[in-house]
Amino acid sequence: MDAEACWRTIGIGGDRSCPELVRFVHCRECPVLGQAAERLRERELPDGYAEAAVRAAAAAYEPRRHDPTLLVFRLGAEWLALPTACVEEIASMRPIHRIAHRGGLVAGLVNVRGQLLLTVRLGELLALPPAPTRRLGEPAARLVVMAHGAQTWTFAADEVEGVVALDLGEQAPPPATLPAALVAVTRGTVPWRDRRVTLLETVPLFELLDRGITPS
Amino acid sequence: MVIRNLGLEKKLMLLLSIFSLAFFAFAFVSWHTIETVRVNGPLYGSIVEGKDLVADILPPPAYIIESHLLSLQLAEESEAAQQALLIERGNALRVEFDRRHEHWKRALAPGTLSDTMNVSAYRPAVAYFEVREAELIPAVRARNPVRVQAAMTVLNQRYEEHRRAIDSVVRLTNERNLQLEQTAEKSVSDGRRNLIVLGGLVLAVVAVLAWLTLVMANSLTARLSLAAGVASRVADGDLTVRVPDASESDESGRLLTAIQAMTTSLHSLVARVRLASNMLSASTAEFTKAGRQQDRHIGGLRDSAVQIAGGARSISETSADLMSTMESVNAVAGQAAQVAEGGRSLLEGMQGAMQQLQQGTVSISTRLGTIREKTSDISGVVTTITKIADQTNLLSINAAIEAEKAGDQGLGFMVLAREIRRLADQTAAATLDIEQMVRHMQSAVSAGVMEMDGFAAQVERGVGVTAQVGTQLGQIIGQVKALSERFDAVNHGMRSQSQGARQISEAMTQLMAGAQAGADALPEFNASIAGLRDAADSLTQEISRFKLGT
Amino acid sequence: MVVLTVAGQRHALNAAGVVEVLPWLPVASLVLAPPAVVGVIDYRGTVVPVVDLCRLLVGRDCRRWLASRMAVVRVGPPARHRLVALLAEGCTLTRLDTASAQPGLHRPDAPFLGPLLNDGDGLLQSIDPEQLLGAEIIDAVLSAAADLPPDPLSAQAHGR
Repeated sequence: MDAEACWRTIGIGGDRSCPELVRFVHCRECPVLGQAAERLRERELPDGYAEAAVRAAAAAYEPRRHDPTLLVFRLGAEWLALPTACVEEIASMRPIHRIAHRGGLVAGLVNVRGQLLLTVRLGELLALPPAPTRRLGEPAARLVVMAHGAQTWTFAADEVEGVVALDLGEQAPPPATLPAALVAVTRGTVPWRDRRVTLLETVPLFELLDRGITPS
Repeated sequence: MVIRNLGLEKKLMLLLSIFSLAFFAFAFVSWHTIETVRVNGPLYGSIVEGKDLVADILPPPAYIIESHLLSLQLAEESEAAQQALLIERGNALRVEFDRRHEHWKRALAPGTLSDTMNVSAYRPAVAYFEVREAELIPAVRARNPVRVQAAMTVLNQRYEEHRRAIDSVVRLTNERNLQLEQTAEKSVSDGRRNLIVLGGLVLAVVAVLAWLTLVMANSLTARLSLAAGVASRVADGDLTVRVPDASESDESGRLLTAIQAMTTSLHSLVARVRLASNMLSASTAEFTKAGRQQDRHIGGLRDSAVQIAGGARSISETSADLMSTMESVNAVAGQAAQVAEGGRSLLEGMQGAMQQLQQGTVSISTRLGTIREKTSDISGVVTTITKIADQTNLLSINAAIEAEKAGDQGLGFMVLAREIRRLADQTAAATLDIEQMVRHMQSAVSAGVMEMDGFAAQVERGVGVTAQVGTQLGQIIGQVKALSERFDAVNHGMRSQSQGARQISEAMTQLMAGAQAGADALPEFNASIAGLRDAADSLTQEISRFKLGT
Repeated sequence: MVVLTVAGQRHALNAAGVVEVLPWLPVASLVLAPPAVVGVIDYRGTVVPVVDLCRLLVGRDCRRWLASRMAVVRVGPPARHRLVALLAEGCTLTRLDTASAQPGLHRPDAPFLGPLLNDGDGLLQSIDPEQLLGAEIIDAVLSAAADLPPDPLSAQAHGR
């Protein structure tokens, strides 16, 4: 078995001397890993696994919600939601390469699947108070990639809950405590768990972005 | 004194004569006394005479003649003072009369005399007095001559009665007195006769006694002279003398017996002395011979003493050597014990270290056990991750299938599905790694546990061996100590032996000195032997004076 | 292409026909079923017969592994399609080198086996599920399954 754990010895977990790394870049793309993983599963079923699977298999498909779903995320202390339609991807946080002579709302450039995309400081754009210091054990920050039309922007979210189907019938107008910039791009707030999430509208948001970032 | 030298016989005769003399004197005096005091003897006659005289002079109170006289006087008296005087005297006489009546009532034995006196004479007297009291005195006081005369008549009558009774009494008394005189006369003459008879008897008895005494004195004298004779013979040296058997066992007999016994024992004593003196002479001869032998022996004794002294000295020296050897051996043993002791304390330290090691192995085993538990925990976690990886794998496949069915629209989805699958595979690979690590850990732990067990067993063996060695060392130390004690005992014995040898030497020296002194004393010894022989000879001479018969 | 591993051999299915891939599920066994049919499962409310490919192809039962998979495939004409679950010992996806299709050995006892394919990692034996079970057999199985007592699968699953 030891000889086959090449990912640990000559691969990405080892000294990276494996020639296949040139082709696959990462061991996980290499079929050797896949086969090894397959062989991992050639063993007895764990306890209770079959029972859970039976229930899962017998469960009918859930009816498709017709309400569009929202991506719920947090910027600082504020919980916001974006329509899923404009969300391209949620990626892991990665280095933001500063652009010389560009500051303010533009945080820099990031590499997403080989593409270089602009990262904005959305919190500043929406005039939200800055985030408290990150503590250990909190969910990881995520990079949100959103696109509308020809524009693609990225921003760093302190926490991404995920895609949630919220009852928009409960929508309420935004409270007066919200900053003006935010009010401009929101339709209102929706209850979610024990919070109220501020819904962001795609078109106003992207217009705001376009105005705010366009080089003057 | 002259009396003392008199013989026993003469002494007795003297005693007897004195006694007889005294007796006769007494008898004579008795006779004389009797003669004097007998009735109608001189004394008696004088007493009676005296009484008659009194009777002639004084009127007896029991006879109321005086009272009658007084009454007669009274009847004639006219003076009051004299009357009173007469009455008073009459009263006094009556009192006296009553008193005497009482006396004679008691004194006289019942009989005719008593009756006459106390009744026949008394009653009229009493009546007389009553009349006097009742009639005369009042009449006199009343100066009634008629009454007085009447009274006097009665009184006269009464007086006559009384007088007649009194005359009887007198007559009776005289009769009695006569009888009494006769009786007394008789008894005196009887007494006189008795006295003479008794005197004669006493004389006879005295004569017999005198004869007996003489006889007794003779025998006693004979015996005493016999005893004296025997004693003088014994004093002369004749121890064969025999005392004739004494029949009496009185003092003289006992004296003879005692003399005999004395003679017998003196005889045997002298015989023994003679025997002893013979033996003494024999012994002196022996001593003389022995003295000469002793001289020879002393020389031999001296030589032996010298030898023994030499032997004792060598014993002493050998003991001293042995003692010093023992002491050195003891010292060595002591060192050995110390070394063993040191070894044992080292062992104890080692044992302590081993025990700590043992505890350490136990704690390591415990930790290994903990690790083993944790690995099983890890295995649990790994199982969970495996499940998740598997489910993720499944999801990715299904996602990819959906993506393919969606065709071009599903391309982005396909990408995601593939990524998911890759991550799942990576997770699976990681779990494989973890499982391997866990297996390695477990085998390492097992190996470690086995090694620890082996190690612990070895440590225990080591502890056991150490303990054993410690015990053995302890035994060695004990034995060495015991040895040391035995050495001490031997030492002690050696020392006492040395002392003993020394004492022998000293004793030998003393003995030799004694022997020498003995040799020096030999001439003195011989001289005293000669003296002894002379004494024995003189004793024999003295003894030979005694005649022993056999 | 969906790749089903049967006794170490890789067999390929067209992904279009695959509805869903499930893990190993306990089956409710039927009496008088065809030998390859090991029983039925409840798939999202529908009773689906399970064909053990190991039984079919190598004569022994599929091993009950974590990696074991049941691929639910659609057979029959679109209007009257039936669902059949194929039990295999592993399932992955692959892209074919379509140019390299070779005709495989024809086995008369296994009409469902198609040509050999190549995906760059080795040869795959293609399977045509339409040829696995005839519609009548499936119907017969389903009617037999209707006679089963209610909720037999849960009982059997818990019983294991």
